[in-house]
Amino acid sequence: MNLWDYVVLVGATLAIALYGMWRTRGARDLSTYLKGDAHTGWATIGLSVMATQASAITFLSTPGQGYESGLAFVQNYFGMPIALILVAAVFVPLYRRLNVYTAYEFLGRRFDTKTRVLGALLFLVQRGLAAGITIYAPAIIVSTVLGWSLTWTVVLSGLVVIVYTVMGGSGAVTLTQKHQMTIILAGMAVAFVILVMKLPGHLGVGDALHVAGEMGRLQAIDFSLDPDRRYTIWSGILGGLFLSLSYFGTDQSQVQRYLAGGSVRDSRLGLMFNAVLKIPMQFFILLLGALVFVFYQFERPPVFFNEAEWSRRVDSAQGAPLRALEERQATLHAEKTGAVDAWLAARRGDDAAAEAVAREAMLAAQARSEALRQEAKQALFAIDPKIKTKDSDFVFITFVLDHLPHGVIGLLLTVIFAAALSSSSSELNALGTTTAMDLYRGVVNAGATEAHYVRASKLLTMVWGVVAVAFALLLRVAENLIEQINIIGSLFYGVVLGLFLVAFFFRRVGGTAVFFAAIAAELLVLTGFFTLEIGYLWYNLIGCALCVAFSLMLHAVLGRRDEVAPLPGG
Amino acid sequence: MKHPHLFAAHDDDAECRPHLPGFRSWRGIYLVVLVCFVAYVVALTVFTRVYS
Repeated sequence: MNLWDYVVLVGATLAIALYGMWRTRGARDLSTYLKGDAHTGWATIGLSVMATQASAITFLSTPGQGYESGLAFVQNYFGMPIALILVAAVFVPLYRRLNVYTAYEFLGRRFDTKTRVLGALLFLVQRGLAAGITIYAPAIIVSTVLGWSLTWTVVLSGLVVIVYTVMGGSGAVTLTQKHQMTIILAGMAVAFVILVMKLPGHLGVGDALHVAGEMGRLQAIDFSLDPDRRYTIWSGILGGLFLSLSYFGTDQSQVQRYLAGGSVRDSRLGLMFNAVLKIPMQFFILLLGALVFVFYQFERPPVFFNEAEWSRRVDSAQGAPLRALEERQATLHAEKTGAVDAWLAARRGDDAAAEAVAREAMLAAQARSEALRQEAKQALFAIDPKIKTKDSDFVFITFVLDHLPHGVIGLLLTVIFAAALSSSSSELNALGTTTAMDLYRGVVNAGATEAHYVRASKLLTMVWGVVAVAFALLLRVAENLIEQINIIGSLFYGVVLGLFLVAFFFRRVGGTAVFFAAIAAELLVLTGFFTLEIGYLWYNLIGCALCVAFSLMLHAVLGRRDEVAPLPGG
Repeated sequence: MKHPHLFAAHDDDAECRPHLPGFRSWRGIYLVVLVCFVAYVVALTVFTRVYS
C-alpha cells in the first residue's frame, strides 16, 4: 500500500458516504426516512439489493473458494431466480398494497400483534448477531494482511456506516449502495482484466482454462445424486430456492431495499435485475479465483496464504521446520511449472499418448504441492493449535497486494470496504426500522407523531450500530463464533419463512394457530439441534415445514377460535 | 375467512404493468428470467464438459 492506494481508498469511501448524506439531508418525514425517495428507479433498487447480499466476505472468500475447490459453489445460487420470481409475484404486491414499513408489519395486518412481534424478534436475534460479523469478518482479514490495528479497523468502518445510515436513513443506504456496487463491479472487472494480462505470454486464455480444468477447478455443474456431495445442481436448486425465498421474502434488510422504489414495477424489476445477473456475477468471481490458481502455477505462491501469520512463526524459535518447507516448496513449484508447460506443449502436438503421460506428470506434481500445503498447515498447528489453518480467505487479497499495481490495490481495497459498508448499512437500517416500527410503535407507543418515530428510528439505528461494533470487537477473542452465528441464523430462518408461507397460502389460518405453531416449531428445532446429528442447513427446511404443519393442525383444532382478525378498514 | 383487499388480483393495475418494450405482462418477464436461468445452466454444463 502506498499513498495513492490510501488516497483512492479513503477518498472513494468517504466521498460516497458524504454524497449519500448530502443528497438525503432533507429526509424528515417517516416514509422518506424509512423507505427513501419514492422516485428511486428499478436499476438503483437492483444494485441496492445486490449490494446488500454481497458482503465483503463475498469478494474475499469467493475467489479463494474458486482457487481451492473450483466453480461448483455457483450452483448454490441456482434457486435464486425462481425464488425472486415468487417474491416479485407474491410478496411485493402485498407489501406494497398494505404500504408496510417492515415485513413483520404485514404479519401484524394478516394475523395479529403477537405474531408480528414474534416475527420481528426472530429477525432481530439473527440479524443483530450477523451485523457484528459483517463488520468483523473483513476487518480481521484486512488488518492481518496490512498490519493495521483490528480495533481501529472495526471502530472506524463501524463509525462511517453508523453516521451515514443514521443521518440519511433508507435513502442514504440505497444511494450509497448504488455507487458502492458500481465501484465493486468495476473493481472486480479491472482485477479480472489485469489477471488475464499477467498470465505468462505463452499462455492464452483458452490454455489457462484448460490448465484450470485439468486441475479440477472448472467443474461448475454436478448432476450427482450423492447426498454427501457438498454442491450439486439439485441441492443448489432446492436448497437455494428455500434459502433465497427466506432471505429475499422475509428478511427486512432485503425487503426494505426493494420497497424503496415508488411502485410495484420498480420493486419487481429491481428483483428481476438480480435474478438475471447474480449467477453470472458469482461465476465470474469464482472464475477469477480459478485463474488466480492458474497464475500461481507459474508464479511461486506463498506456502501459506496468511503470510503475516506464517512469517511470525518462521521468524520464531520454532521456525526451522517451516523454513525447510519453504525450501521444499520452491523445488516442487519449479517442477510443477515445468510439468504444466510440458503438458501444454504435448497438448498442442498430435500425440495423445504423450499428452496423457504429460497430464499424469502434471497432476502428480500438483498432488505433491497440495500435500506440502497440508503439511505446512499441520506444522503451523503443531506450533500453535489456536492458529486458523484455513487460508483460502487470504488468497485473493494476497494476489492483489503482491501483484497488482498501486492505485488498483487501493481500488480493490475500496471494493472490500464498499461491500462491507453496503451490507452493514442495510442491516443497521433494517434493525433500527424493525425495532422502531414493530416493537416501539407496534407495542410500546402507538400514538406519537411522525417526527417522534423518525427520532426513535435514528436513535435505535445508532444503538444497533454500537451493538454491532461492540460485538465485532468481542469476536476478536472468540473467532469460532462466526460459524455459531451461521448456525443461529439457520435455526430461526425456517420458522420465519413458515410464518409468511402460512400468511400467503393458507388464508383461513389465523394468528392464534400460527403463533403457537411457530413457537412449537422453534422449540422443536432447538431441541433437534441439541439432540440430533443433522447438518444445520436442514433446520431451515425443518423449521418451515413444522411451522406450516403445526399451523394447519392447530387451526383444525381451534376452529372458530382461530378466526382471522379483520384488516383495518377492510 | 379471506381478506379480499389483501389477496385481490392486482397485476391489471396500470402502475403494476412492466412498461418495457415487448412486454405486456409480468408473465413474459418472468418467462425471460427463467429462460436466462436455463441458458446459464446449459452454458455452464457445456463449459464443464469442455474444460473438465
